[in-house]
Amino acid sequence: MSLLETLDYLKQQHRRAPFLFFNGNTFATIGRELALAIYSDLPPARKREISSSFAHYIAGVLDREAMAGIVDSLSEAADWKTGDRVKTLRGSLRGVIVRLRKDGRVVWKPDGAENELTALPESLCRHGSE
Amino acid sequence: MKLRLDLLEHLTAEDIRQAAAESVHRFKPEPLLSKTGVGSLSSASTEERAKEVEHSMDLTQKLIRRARKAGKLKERSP
Repeated sequence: MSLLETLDYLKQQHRRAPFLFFNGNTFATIGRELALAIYSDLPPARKREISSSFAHYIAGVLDREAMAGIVDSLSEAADWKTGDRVKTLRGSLRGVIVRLRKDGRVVWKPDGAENELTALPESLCRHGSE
Repeated sequence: MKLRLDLLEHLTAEDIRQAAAESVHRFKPEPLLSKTGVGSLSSASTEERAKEVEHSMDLTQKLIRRARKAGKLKERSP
C-alpha cells in the first residue's frame, strides 16, 4: 500500500465514522504521526507542515492535489541561488532571494517590501518556475 | 529524500493515542464528514504549532532510540 493509498484509507474510515464521537482526531492523528515518523529527516518546521497537511486532508478540509503539492514542495532539498523565487512555508509571504550568506542563511526580499529578511534555507519553499 | 520507513516500524498505537488525545479540542465531536461531506479542523494557534514542532522532535528521538534498542537486541540474538 502506498502512502497516498494509506491517507485515502484513513480519510475513508473517517467518513464512515465507526465511532460515535471524535472520528476526526482519531484518523487525522494516525496520518499526522505517520508523517512525523516517515519524514523524520526533514527539519522540524517542514515536518510539522507536512503532518498538518496530512491531518487536514484526512479531516476533509484540504483536497488531494493541494496536499500533494504541499508535500512535494516541502520535501524538496533547499538548494538556493540568487534570484530564486521563494515563499514562506505557509505561503504568507512571497519574494526573491537577494544573496546567500557565508553562514548558510539566505537573505531575501518579500514582494512589495523595502526591507530584506534573513532566513534559514529550510524555512523557505520554491515559488513559481523562475 | 529518504522516507524513514525504518523508524515508522517503531511507531506504536500508544504514541498515536496520546497524540489524538492532545488534539481533541481542534475537532468537532459530531461525525460531520460522514453527514455533510465537509470536514472540520480548527486552525492551530501559534502556541500549538510550537508544541507540534516540539512533539515532532520528541517523537523522532523516541523512534530513533527504539530503533537502536531493537537493533541491539537483533544483534544479540543468534
